[in-house]
Amino acid sequence: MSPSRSVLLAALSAALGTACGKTFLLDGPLSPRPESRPAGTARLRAGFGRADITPPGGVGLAGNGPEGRRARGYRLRLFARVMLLEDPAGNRLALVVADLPLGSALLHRRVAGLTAASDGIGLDRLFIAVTHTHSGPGHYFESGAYNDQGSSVVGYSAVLVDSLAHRIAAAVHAARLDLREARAAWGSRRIWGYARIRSMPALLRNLPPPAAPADAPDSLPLEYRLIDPTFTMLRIDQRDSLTGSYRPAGAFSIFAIHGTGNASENELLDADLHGLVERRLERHIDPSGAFVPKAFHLFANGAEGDVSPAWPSQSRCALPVLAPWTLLDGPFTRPLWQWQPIPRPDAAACIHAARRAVERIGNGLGDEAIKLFDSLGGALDDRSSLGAPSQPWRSARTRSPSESAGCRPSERPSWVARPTRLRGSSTGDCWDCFRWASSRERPMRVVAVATVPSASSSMLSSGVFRTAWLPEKLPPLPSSPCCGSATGLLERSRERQPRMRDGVCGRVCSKRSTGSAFRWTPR
Amino acid sequence: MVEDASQMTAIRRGLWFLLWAGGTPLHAQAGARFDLATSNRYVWHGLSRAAGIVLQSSLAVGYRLRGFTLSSGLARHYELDRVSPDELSEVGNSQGRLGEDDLWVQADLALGAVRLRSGVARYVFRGGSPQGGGGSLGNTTETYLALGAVTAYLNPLLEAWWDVDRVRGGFLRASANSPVFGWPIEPFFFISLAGEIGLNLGQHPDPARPGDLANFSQRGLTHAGLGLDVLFRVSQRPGLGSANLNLELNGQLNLDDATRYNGAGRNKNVIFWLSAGVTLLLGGEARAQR
Repeated sequence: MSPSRSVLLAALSAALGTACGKTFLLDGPLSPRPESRPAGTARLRAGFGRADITPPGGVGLAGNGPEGRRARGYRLRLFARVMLLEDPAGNRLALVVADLPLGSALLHRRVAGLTAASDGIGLDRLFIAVTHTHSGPGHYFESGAYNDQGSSVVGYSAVLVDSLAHRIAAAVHAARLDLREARAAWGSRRIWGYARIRSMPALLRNLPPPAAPADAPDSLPLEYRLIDPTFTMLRIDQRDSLTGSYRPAGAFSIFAIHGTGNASENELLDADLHGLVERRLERHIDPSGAFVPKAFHLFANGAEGDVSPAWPSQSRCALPVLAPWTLLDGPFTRPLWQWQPIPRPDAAACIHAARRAVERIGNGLGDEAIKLFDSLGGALDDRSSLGAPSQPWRSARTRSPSESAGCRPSERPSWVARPTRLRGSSTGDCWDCFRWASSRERPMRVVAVATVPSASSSMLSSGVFRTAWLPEKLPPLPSSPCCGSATGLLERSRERQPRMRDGVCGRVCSKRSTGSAFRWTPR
Repeated sequence: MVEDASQMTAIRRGLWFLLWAGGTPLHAQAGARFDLATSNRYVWHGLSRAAGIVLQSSLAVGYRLRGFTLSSGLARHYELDRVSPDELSEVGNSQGRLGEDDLWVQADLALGAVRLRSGVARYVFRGGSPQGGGGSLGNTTETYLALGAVTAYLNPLLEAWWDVDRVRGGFLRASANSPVFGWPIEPFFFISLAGEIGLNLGQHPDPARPGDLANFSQRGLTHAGLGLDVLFRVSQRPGLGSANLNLELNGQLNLDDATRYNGAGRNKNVIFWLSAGVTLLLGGEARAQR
């Protein structure tokens, strides 16, 4: 989307959101109290699940805005992968990474509604992150703006929401059934050259001026050195019940890179860069050659809003332009206007260039993931525990068309969702975390920014349940400045504002950028 | 033998033409357009021809082969309100409402951003002279040649018209339109500005040809106009076409006595008129239009 159109859409959406609707509680079931585990199972347990969430063709490919095309088929199928962790106290946490373009509070609650009773995963223990592929379906958002403006195909689909919710819930259920004693290891590695800052002019307005990390290769251009290139992974090995030995089962990893390498003219559903990285590691862990490997790699998006993949400029398609419609424009007819599409040969050229870039970047990152996964084999530990939630879940308040007379009535569950502050939370309304505490008393924290789409944030931060990784030595939470939200659009519309660097803990966390979910602290 | 050879050449050329046409993308072939508009004034070449409630309908069909388009259409001009004797009207006191039929045929060639088009327009006036209308004595034919460009912000067009029948003389029209705003999400709407000036080169009274009709009073600038157009894409049916609503506000500065003429004994230096219409596009590029 061109900057001017992005700004226009953001402004109009904000105006609509302000004008329309009262708020109501978009609620969902909390997790039940953990059941006490049988004696002798005082170890970490982990399970994995997977669901094919590829919709049929015809849906809009969301993420590119009006340039997003209608799907005509698929290239790489879309999956939702689930890693379910259970600590010795029976606390469960479901991490879901779905090959979808944008997060949806509605989808999150629908899934939680299905998994709370059956698997003990309520909305306080369910994280749904998306890869942000722009080649995934739209139409499943609680935000009318996203349903209507995510692609050139307009509308909300209750069928799609139900389908996605049931499939993801089925994957969570499969992961619960797969729970087995497990060993885990966290690790990270710095990977340069695959991602770069997307808006250098905006970044350079930061005060103090941004500086590249010491280990950034001098050979790289500045835009490639001003990111946090940390690729973080949680490796899980499961115990084989027959042999009693542990075997590699899967991983959850985080890297800050925008989830799309495909060109906006692409007409195929596709898991994009993240799909390649996921598959590359899965086929390394399970080299059987099965179409769907038995291994699982959940590749979550880090703070990727302003971190672009290293695609070449020729892989970005030109934008449609306003042009008079000349066919049958006779001597006495008035001019008509259209959004003139780019010529087909130009579209083919940028699609092809983008695919080459996707394969190079995806396979390269996949190889790096394999190296990291293999290096963690010696650090596996089966005594890790999950922290208990220190704050109860506070549901976001959202606006509903049914409660807003005069605004567009529809079956959409909400027009706009608005985050609320966590009561007593000292982290502000930017983000919250849960914390992974290992038995070695080395707190490692996974930060999950649950972005609830709102009038401003749905446009500015993409409304995605995003995850980010914080380094081991974290300053006290109240002063923590990190945000995991996407900021690309924010910077476009407010370039003079100082802002954070995605993937790096920055200075400013806009109060408008993200919502709050919940927070875990070590016991 | 010579005849056979020429036949073979014709057949060969025909086959090449079919191959060329067959290779043309489907989305760029036959299309049709239907316009229905109402306005409080009918203005042609800067000349006010009817005032009051007028209704204009037109049908056009065309076929595009790559950048070349052949099209033809018929526009009919109706006057819906009762006409007083000194009022601008083509119908006059005749019984019918139909004032004018315009039939046109046009060839259009697009070469990148440049557009070249040429055509013939036949004007048939339906009102009867005794009743105060234009009458068939005014029937005439014009040819035209136009050169235009389609750019991101401005679309200029220069048209040269030549009356080859009753008026005999040239008229130049320079116009440009510019998109001011386009809403990128369905339903689309567009706002554009348009301006034009007219220059008469020979369609004024000529003492050497007293039998000819005249459109203007003298050589030189005839008018300068400005318009604001709002186009709303009401419906878009992929594979079929689209329906569009159009609202247009026009203003014109009249610089020639003929363009100032506003009915018996009436002159207006500046005129404004409003028009609203619907346009249906079927087939051709309209099937995948955005």
